[in-house]
Amino acid sequence: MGEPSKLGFGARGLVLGLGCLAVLVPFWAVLMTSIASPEEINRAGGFVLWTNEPTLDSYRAVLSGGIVTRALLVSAGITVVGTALSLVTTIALAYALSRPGSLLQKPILLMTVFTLLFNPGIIPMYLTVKQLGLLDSYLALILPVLVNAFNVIVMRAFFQEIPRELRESAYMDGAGEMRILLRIVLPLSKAVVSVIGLFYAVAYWNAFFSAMLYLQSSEKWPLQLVLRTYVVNNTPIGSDQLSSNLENLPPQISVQMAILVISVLPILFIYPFIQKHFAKGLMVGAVKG
Amino acid sequence: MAPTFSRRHVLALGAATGLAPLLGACGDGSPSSPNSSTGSVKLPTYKPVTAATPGLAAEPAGVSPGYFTYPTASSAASQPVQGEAITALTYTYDPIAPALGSNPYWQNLNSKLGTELKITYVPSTDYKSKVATTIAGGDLPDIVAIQGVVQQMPAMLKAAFTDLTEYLSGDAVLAYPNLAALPTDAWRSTVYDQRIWGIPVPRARIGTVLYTRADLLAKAGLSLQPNSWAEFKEMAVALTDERAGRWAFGQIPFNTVLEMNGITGNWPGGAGVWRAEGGVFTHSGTTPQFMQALEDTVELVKSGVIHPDHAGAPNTKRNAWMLAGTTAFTIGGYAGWGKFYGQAKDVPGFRLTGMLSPTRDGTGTQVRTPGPTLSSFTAVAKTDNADRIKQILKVLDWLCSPFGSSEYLALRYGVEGQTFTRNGSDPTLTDSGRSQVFLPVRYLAEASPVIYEPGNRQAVQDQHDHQVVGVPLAVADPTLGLYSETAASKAASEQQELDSVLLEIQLGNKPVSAWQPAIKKFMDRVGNKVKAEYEEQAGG
Amino acid sequence: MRSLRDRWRRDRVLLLLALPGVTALLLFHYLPLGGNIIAFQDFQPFLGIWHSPYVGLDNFEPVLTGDPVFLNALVNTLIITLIQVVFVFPLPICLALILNATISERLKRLTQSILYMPHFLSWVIVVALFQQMFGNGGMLNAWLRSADLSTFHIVGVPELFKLMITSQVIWKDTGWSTIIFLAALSRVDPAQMEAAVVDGASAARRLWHVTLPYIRPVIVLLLILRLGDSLSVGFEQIILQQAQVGAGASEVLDTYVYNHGIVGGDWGTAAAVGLIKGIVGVALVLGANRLAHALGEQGVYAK
Repeated sequence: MGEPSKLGFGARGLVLGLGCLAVLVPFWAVLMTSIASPEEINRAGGFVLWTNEPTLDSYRAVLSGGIVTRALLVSAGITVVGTALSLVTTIALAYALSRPGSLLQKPILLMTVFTLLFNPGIIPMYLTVKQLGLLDSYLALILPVLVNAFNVIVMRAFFQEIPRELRESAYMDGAGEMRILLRIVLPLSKAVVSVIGLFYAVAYWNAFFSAMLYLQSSEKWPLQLVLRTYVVNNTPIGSDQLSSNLENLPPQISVQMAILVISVLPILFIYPFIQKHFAKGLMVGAVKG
Repeated sequence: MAPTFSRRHVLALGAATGLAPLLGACGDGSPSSPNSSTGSVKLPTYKPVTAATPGLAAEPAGVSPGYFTYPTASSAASQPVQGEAITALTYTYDPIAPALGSNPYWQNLNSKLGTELKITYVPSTDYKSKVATTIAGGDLPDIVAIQGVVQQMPAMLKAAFTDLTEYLSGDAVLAYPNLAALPTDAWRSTVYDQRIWGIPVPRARIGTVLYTRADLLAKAGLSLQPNSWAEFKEMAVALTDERAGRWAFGQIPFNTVLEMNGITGNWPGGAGVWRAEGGVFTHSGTTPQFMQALEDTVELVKSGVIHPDHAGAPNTKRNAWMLAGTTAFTIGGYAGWGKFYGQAKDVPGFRLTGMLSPTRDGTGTQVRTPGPTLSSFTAVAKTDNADRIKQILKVLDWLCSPFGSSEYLALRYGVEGQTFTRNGSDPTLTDSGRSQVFLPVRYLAEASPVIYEPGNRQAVQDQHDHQVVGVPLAVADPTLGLYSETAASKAASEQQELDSVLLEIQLGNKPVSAWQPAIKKFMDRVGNKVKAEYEEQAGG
Repeated sequence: MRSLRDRWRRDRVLLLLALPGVTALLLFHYLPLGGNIIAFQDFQPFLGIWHSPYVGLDNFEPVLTGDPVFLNALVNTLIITLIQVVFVFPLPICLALILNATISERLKRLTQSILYMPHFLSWVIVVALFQQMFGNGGMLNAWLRSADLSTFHIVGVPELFKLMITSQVIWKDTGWSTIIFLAALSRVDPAQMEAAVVDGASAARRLWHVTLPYIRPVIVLLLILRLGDSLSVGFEQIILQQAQVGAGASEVLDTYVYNHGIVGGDWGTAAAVGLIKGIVGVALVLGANRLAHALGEQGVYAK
């Protein structure tokens, strides 16, 4: 009875298999479309599932001129620095809120939660950023989103699940809060810290709107904003648009897919590094060790 | 009879009685007569400049000149404009360009210009937010592209920008010869409260085109120009073969059907839907012809000649269908015409023409909705410094240098041997040049459009042919140069509802009869107010 | 009760730790939040917050008078939220449990990394892919048509619109949302599990008594936060597909704000609806939290 049943095993395998297929086929189409020849794309009128004449023209078109490469570095920098700052601030705040009944705990907690429910408009946000002298600075892409209340709440919930006795006894032994945080709570929270870190990293990586609003010089643009000019622009052949510049670009859809590959690959690579913190029994091991 | 009466009202009358083609000719480019819309302000004097003789002539009604090759002789370079750097804010429909440091095209432009241009720009879709925040922040650059009409436009312009009337009105503009060559109708859209607020970025009068795969129609043995609603339907059915995955259209050609029924206007959005007759403005949505057009459209949709995924498909998709031959038509702005040739390089036999809307029964006068006169206009942030204003206008004048001039070459192609090479006399951008010229100076100021498709005579001829027959059919928009606060504010939301009802009727979710209550509600809530505001201005 | 002074002495380090985060929230949320005053103004960017005229409750008119277009958007929003809470919310939990029960660590990691990929596709791409596969003229229907089989219609059918967008959400975000539960599951004590196996507990009982307690607090927490967000549903996803069926079936509050506020430059209307959404959100979070307490859960904050 204790062994997993064959049926259950089969059903689980089927679900996961179908799920993976449902993901892989579209991704395959994305990849193929990004390297298909213009002729094949014209024939298909959209995505292609197979190409006989693979070409890297779309990648070349996007990567030429070095703008995208530079923007990749900018994005990587913002993501790394931003995630680090966000994690530190979030851990500190979540920990400060994790002991029920501490001074001002509830008002600060509610204040944090309510930021999820009310959004400041873009104009007041812009004025604030301007008043603080952050316009055209990379800090404008980090500080306004430094703390995400959702992440704080989730992290706090995980901190609270750490057996209270552990913290209590450390406190009795004369350990300060900082020591408890660094020596007991954090080592037991690798999983949630890596998940929240991933959340922040993805948010920094994908952000473009704040860059559009707050950065004046286009040489500072992060990847997603640069790529946006390839995707949202020249989508409609509108009455406002002039033509001659774009004549020799590869087909729009193929460029779009190349962009997608370029912008998604780096962030996909982070995941395996995070996964190892999900291993079963990690926390228990840490407690005992 | 006041001069203000004559032209506008005769024009409007002409539109209604089929005289429009004759009278339309005085719309564009002709010396401006002061009219009601622009009130007492004298529009800039029109004086065309040409740097090279075109292969196919321009026509005063607004037909662009056509060039088969790039002229070899360039006009003498104008004087550089000395002065402090100019900061600018604009939008772009192109990908991002390399920064100044690694952009020889930009460096060359700055040195020829004699003034450093510092351009901040964002993707067109985000431009509205960017302008709103920049204005709210009160830190405007020297020049700003103003796109579309916003609420309280006259007050906004007065608060934040410089009144340019004294520098541009009447003969004053002749100090800037290239600005004087911009079409009068485009200037009209820069006038608010009888003052001139900016330099227009002009667009071809021809407007929206029903792009036609002439090669596919020829293969099916069909005429490139059906002459009635019945022939139009027959043609659509003949082009459709559902089993083979082929349909005539990638979107509902509603504006074409409207034109067949004798009315103009662009839907959704409802641009250019007002008609004027004897000083009385009518919303075309309230006319019986509109109802007829709706019924015709529903009939067309039901006959299955439209791609089953047409609803909500992005334009890129629709264009891709046309390139793939999945559909034979796509609808788009005229300015996109040239782009299709590049994208269709690998489509054997590809030939693109524009189809005109016939009249419904094949007799009477055809009509056409003209395009917007401008893409945006470039306004100067508030300043009293007359020298600075003149310097800025000189720079904008330079940016409007005509096709064939050495400035134009620098503006569009950059540095010979570096950003472009010559193929015969035709300049061809190099790989690095192509991304450098994405710098959106052309969305700050540019000369009137010309037709030029290097190495493709047929394409130049086809475009010019389409303009020659299409432009004279254009029915002037009587609201051009008028400003209705209701239209700019409250009407936007009501228009969305109207568009939404229209869409559901076209999709068959709602009966055609749903239109009457919807348009009545629109008129009651905002339409009648808009009408009154237009009539007051036009009469005043 | 300890004296304030004692509590200060005991908790000052905690307050110090909270300081950076609280400062950031005050500066970048609460300070600009004052800008929501424009909900009561005819706001014009060139006049600014200080000089735009006050118009009382004008911007709330569609809400207060129950404008049918607004009500339609509200109803659609609530239906979609309901569907998503019932069908979308539990899926990542199930997936996390399935993954957790997978024996091969390698297989588990591989599946996980594949299933979370769609989260990184923007809605524009997801919608385009969906159309290409399942559209009326898409790959599947093209094949059916060429084989003289009857075709199926999902896209462009108003009645199916809400299910269609729900299935897209499931495809895009189930794998991604799983990771938070996987993190919670990583804390399950293997010794406890082994003991349960030895005791002969069935798989269902083990799930209920051993595994679930580790993730239940997270589930409750996320559910409460999701409820607080009831009035926001996939803006970008819906606006991209609105033209397929028209506003009747597809208008939600966020698209309503866009179509009736942002497009026409009505900043005040947008702020007004934002305020209402916030107030409703607060009520829902507080209510749901109270309910959680009644059921013996922690919720977002303790009693």
